[in-house]
Amino acid sequence: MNTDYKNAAYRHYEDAEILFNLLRWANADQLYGLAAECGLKAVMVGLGARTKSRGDLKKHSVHINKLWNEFITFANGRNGAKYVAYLSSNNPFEDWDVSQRYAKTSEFHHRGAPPHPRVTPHQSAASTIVKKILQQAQSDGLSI
Amino acid sequence: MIRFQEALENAIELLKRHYADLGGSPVLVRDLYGRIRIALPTDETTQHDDLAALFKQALGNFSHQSVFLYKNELFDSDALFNSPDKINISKTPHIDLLDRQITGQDWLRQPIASQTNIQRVTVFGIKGGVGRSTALAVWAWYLAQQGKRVLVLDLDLESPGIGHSLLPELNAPDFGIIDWLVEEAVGQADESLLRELVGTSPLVSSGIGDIRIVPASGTQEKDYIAKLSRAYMEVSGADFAERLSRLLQALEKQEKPDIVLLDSRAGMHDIAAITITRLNAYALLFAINTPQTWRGYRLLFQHWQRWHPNLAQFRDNLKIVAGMVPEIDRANYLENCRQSAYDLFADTLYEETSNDEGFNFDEKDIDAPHYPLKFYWHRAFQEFDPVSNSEVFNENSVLEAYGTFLKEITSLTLE
Repeated sequence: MNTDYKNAAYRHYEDAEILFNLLRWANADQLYGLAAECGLKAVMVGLGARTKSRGDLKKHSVHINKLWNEFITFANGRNGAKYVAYLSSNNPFEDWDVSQRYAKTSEFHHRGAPPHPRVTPHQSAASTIVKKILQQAQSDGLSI
Repeated sequence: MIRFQEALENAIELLKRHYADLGGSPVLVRDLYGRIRIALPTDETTQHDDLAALFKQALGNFSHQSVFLYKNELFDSDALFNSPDKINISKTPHIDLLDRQITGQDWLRQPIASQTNIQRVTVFGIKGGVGRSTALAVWAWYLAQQGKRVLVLDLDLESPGIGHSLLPELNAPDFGIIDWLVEEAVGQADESLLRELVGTSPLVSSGIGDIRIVPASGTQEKDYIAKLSRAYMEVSGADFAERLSRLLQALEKQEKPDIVLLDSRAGMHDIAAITITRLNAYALLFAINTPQTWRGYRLLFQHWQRWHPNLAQFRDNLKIVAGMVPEIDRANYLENCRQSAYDLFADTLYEETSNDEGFNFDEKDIDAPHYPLKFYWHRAFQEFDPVSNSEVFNENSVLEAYGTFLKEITSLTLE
């Protein structure tokens, strides 16, 4: 299957929101992280990132907990500066990990209880990436 | 509190002191905020936690929450480890710097190879109002009167002028440089556009030579600011400098000039960076003898001296021009000007050598980059507007004000 970061970013984000509204925090949280990763990768590729993993779905080992910082140092010049401005210097996904899909549901709080405090910062950061950065990049004409 | 300029020095010092604990050869990455991280081609070691704590302490707000970036944890590691903007800042031990900037990176980048071999001259002033564009116009006229084919580009895009000072509306082309930049971005910079960028100045009467002018904007202009605000864009991986070089080469092929004169923007702008350091041009650095002028040049030269990996490729092409030398006490003025220019070069770009090798010149060496060419202030060239007053190109006043300048600069560039 081919890679389509932008499309994947929107899909993960929309599904995360559905799960969040159904109070299913754990998988919502996992998907916010994946949405943020795909969104930033889309913009990086649009800004000229060259990566062997493009097109090969098996080689994606870099996730949002690392990618956030990379994006900030990757951005360069007039074209890149405006996207960095949306990201805080402290990575909100520092405590997110793709391996948390193996974690116990109660780590994120059960349905009925409010979400673990870890989750909402992920939601808001993913929303910034998908709704602001990705849309800005599209309206700027980046090929993403 | 750690300030911007201390942060990098502290980072370098810390890396040197703890080099063995790094486990690999580091690239310091300074991001757009000025915050610094350590990128490593190797993996995390047990010493890195302690090192990160020391690093944060030494850099304050110019550090990061996570100090290290590891190659195998990057999406596009080439963009950091093989970036053409990477500069070696310490040989032993080996430390590189990748300085992310929003603008100004052209001051340190390599000259762009050209397929044409035509003499190019950049006319630049660190401050405006030093007679730069007028001198360029007079020189272009002088060369054309002598039978040369002169191509002039108005690259002062934010403050265009030279084009229309030599080109009456009737002779002006439909389009200008700004059009080429926006059209090229969508793949429409074809040969017909290129032909419509150039106009011939009617002010030349020799019949052999001519001045062909590429203005910033053409007669069809309706939306200059909208184009200017897109002009510096990187397009399909080609940065603004590469695009400008492409335009210049295409114009040179079309026009086959004897010489190309580039009117650069004043001040430390990217266009100046490109026209002085990246287009293989001879660069005239206009100055009037004021402390502000020399201080401005000093800031620029210090940057080159500290960071430029390719300084040797363009420093021989620099030449100071003392502009609008006042009528009174000329000799004294010029002496002071030469002294200030020498101090500037000696403190920055000139190398200390005990023999003849290296980039170094005697203060009184007239061929030295610091030794000023000169032209004089002259009433006839105030309110310079040759299009409505062609009398200004009167042999006598030209020779009085620009005589030695024209002879010397022509011999330096065309003989």
